[in-house]
Amino acid sequence: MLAMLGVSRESVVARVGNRLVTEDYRLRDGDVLELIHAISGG
Amino acid sequence: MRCTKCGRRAVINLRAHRLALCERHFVERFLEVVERAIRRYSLMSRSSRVLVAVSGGKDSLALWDALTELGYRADGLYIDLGIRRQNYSRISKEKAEAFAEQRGLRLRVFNLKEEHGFAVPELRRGSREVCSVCGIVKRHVMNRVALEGSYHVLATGHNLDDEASVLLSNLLRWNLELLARQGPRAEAWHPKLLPKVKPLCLLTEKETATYALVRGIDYVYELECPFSAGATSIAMKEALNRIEEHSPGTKLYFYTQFLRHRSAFAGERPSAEAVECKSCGLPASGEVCSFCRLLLKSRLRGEKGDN
Repeated sequence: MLAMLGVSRESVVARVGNRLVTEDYRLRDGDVLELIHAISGG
Repeated sequence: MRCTKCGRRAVINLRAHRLALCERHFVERFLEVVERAIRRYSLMSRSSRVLVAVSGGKDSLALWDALTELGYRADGLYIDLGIRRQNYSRISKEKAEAFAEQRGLRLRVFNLKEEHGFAVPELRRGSREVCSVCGIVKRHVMNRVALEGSYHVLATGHNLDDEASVLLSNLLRWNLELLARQGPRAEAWHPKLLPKVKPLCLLTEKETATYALVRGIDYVYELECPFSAGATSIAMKEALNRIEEHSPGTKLYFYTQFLRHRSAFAGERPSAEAVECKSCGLPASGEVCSFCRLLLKSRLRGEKGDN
């Protein structure tokens, strides 16, 4: 899914509810996936 | 995915190390790596008084948390740069203050506008870009506060992605002088300068973000510095992450092997002369330091504007 979105798994942390999940996590009905961008610049 | 060590549900997959870790084992490993960097690169000792530069972001707060967990004596310094766009400085300051209060830690706050009459966005008018101005301001203020507070070392939250992206940028331009200077510890070349250290230099940005989230650190993650959009460092980081995606471990190898061989660039480093700024008395490369020059130019612009 991340690849489809063009997002590197190295640059985001994925959270479902209040749980951090790894890239193999399968979304279930009602799950809301939050991608937290880890890259900062400046 | 299950934790390689205990079989519990993993919160991170560290492909570079072929390790999946649960919350507990990830935090344990994170602290081990911070301690490893401190020892390997002689960043500080147990008796050091450390001043951590905190921005309210994940890296600096994760660093402050980790140093405290490891038993180091670390205070924080927040520099209020006066960036009002998107309430950036206000929100960042609130996060840093809340972190310190919750943990009973000492946070020093330096307000640039109150101390010198100018905020960073006002200082940038002229030829310099805002990130460059911001760098000059932060370096000056960090050193001044650390010196006045009798600290032994200044710690910043630069992580592996920061270091690898700067290294790539310096290599692409073959900037030998900057290559000679880069590393996890910048020595003090003048009695009025403090050594600067980067204890997170062996940990990726993803690891520091994960650590902050697992430890319940409330950091500024929904907001970026409004002036960082389009920054070269972000392009470098994205390029490195594309390579990392294909070849896990490349970033770490790139940086650590550079550190092993960087003595090759040592001759490119100009010898620094011990000159003190005529205005503030802190070390400078000329008669007046970069920070005081910035202030002077801004005052002159203000006077011209008043007339």
